[in-house]
Amino acid sequence: MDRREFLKRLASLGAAGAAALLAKGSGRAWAADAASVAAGAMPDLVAVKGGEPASMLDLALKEVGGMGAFVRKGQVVVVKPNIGWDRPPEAAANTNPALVKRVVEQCLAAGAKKVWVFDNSCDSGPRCYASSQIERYARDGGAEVVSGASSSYYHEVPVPGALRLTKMAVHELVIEADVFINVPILKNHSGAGMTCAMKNLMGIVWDRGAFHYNDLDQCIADSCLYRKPDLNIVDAWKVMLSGGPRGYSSSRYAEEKMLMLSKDIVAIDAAASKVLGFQPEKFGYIGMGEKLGLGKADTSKLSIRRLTM
Amino acid sequence: MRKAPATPRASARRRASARPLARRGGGGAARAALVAAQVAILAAAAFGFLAAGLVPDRARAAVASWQLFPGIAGALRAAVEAAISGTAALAVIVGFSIPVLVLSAIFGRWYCAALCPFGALQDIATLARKGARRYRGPPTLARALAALCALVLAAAGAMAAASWLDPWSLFGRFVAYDIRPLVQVASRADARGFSLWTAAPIAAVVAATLILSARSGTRWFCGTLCPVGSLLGALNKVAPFRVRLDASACVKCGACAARCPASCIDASAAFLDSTRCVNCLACVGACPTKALRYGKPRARGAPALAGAEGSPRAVAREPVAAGAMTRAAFLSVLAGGTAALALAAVPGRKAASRLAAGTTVAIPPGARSAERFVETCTACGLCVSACPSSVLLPSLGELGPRGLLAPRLDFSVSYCQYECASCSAVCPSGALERLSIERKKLVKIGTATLVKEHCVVFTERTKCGACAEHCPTGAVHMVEGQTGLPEPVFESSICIGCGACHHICPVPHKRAISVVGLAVHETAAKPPAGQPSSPGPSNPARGENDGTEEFPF
Repeated sequence: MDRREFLKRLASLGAAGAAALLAKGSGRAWAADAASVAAGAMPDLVAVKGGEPASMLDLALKEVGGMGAFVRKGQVVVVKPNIGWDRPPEAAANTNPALVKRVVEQCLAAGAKKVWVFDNSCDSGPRCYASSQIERYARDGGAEVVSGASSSYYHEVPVPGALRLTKMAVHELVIEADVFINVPILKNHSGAGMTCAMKNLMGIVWDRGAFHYNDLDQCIADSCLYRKPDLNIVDAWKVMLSGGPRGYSSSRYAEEKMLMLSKDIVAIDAAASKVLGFQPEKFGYIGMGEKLGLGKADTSKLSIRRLTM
Repeated sequence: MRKAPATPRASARRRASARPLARRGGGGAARAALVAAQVAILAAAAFGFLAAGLVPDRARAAVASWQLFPGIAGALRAAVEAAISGTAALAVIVGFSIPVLVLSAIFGRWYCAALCPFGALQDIATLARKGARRYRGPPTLARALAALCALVLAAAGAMAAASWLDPWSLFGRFVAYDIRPLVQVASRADARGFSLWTAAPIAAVVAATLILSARSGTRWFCGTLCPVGSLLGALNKVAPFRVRLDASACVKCGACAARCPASCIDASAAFLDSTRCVNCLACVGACPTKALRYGKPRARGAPALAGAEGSPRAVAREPVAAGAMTRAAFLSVLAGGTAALALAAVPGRKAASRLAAGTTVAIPPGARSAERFVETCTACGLCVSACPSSVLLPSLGELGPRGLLAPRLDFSVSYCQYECASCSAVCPSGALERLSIERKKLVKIGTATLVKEHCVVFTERTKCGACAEHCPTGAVHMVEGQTGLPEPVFESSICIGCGACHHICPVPHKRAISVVGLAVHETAAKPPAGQPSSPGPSNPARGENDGTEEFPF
């Protein structure tokens, strides 16, 4: 664990350094982006527009050197989509199932020994797994879909550096896996304002009531401290603008046809808030996450690769 | 050295005792079909109660729809409701109860041997017994009292109490509340809502029944206490097709009685008690002289017919006939019946008025009213097993003594799933009417109350919104208010009382939002278009379906 962590940090330090050297300004120009990739640097954020979820993922991954940059041969990967609600895919309340399937396939193609998929759903777990179609798609992709619906899977861990949520019970897959991939869907959220990458990590925890009773924003930020995802992939293909997170029959949507990818969970949420139509400051947990050292909240300081299909 | 058999009776007896397990077979293809049906129904029923996510509701309902007690209860209910409402046709005849009764009047009491899972459980228990079973005479009094109790309680509007002896409901409760928690724990699922107060008494009753079955080697319950058995026993007596004993051909060897799981044969008197016989055909294959057969009476004029089946008088002459079993059963039934009647009649009325006055207990969608629900539900627990969120629990007094073990929703455990109508889809008694998902989404089973003084948004000045997050209709939604934070706002007309807000409200001890059940269900308004939503309109520059700006960062 220590050696793996050390190597990971070394790699990310190197990548960050290279990115800082090469990615001057926002780097809108395709040529500049291409140059930095050629130099082996990883951008802070890759954003793709206009394709299907799976094809946008393929393109985004190509830009960062493929899934192999995150998953090495023989590793065990846990993929955490948002499977919170007993809603069909068209309601865009859960992560797009085709995207989850593609993530699983990419992991296996990169040599992963096993890919687990789970969520601690809000509605009845088995119903959410079925109606979101994620269970079926993920299995088709070769994943092992694991229940998140009972307390026996969750084990209490300390959360180092947390201000409010100093301990929490986390799903054992997140504790055990070599690689942790966060695959949220971006949508409006009645309580937190927006749910995306950081908020999605509430689904690795058993007792969410503790979040709500102890300053929701701070607890969302704290919960990201236990284990930062090695990769965040945001589904912003169809974005629920109102009535989230579950969605009402009257919910409004925006067909963004977008996908974002980043190692930085704060940066990807900051960019996501702008897709939703807000400044990142609107959502307290993003700034709190930056203060905790989880990532960068200022999108103007990110190296971003923007691709249109 | 082999001894030659002295008499056919002795040789048959020896054969019977020499092959204790093999002797369970025999009776030919019909017997094999019965056993296969029995095993299939036992497995299907048990699986239906145990495997929540794996069995489709339709399959669950299909197995349950053959069960007589809930089926008759539902058919009677439908008839009464049709009569009251003046509609000519019976609204819905639930399940196959009427066809089963008609078939039983023709082909005898085959249901118990083929379709009853509780009978199958007892048959399994009797496998432990070796040697002859004793016929103890027709327990007329105990049987009549048990059936009478069920009738009186059902008529008194206490169906859950009336069905205490219903084999389907007994089986269901046993699997749902005793076996299912074990399976859940073994499969790492939470046994949510498990209560020893429910599990222990049911386990004790079923265990006692099965232990007695194993010891006596008979399905004694079916012939003594089971109200369904009593009804079918009466039909079997007049049915043209049934197992018949030709006394003139009988050598009184006892091979049949040694096999008979219904303990309906008195071999020494060459007497077959048709009211106890379940037509399992085990005896037919065992009889060395073919004195036992299944079918119509022999053609008129045939000498074998006269007095062929013996008479109860022959039994009455036996000193054992009116033996201990009858008296013990009589006393226990008397005590149980009196207690049940007292429970139902005295505090039941109080409970009924409380239910009518507006209970706090939420009951499943499709029940229509608490009163109708306790009058119809047999408390078999199938809906509890089918409920994906475990919000359904057997009540322990919450619905009054009449509704003991009838399901209720416990929002401290979970909440009713908006897109689900499993409970109403599987109910075999019609206590829960069938609801389409779209109709169920408008059935108001309760209503929420919001107490802002307890809400963390106001007391802690932090964001929460868990209630609105889970609310499927938007009845509770968040609007940015004076606190500068999204504050909960409640709109009662579109609340359906699913309990999601109640369940998820994080305030310890005093919930800021709670749901109470309605004694009479209502219809909620459809959620309107353009419901308010926090954090309010996003950047006005970005409209709906506006994906035009390529990258807003």
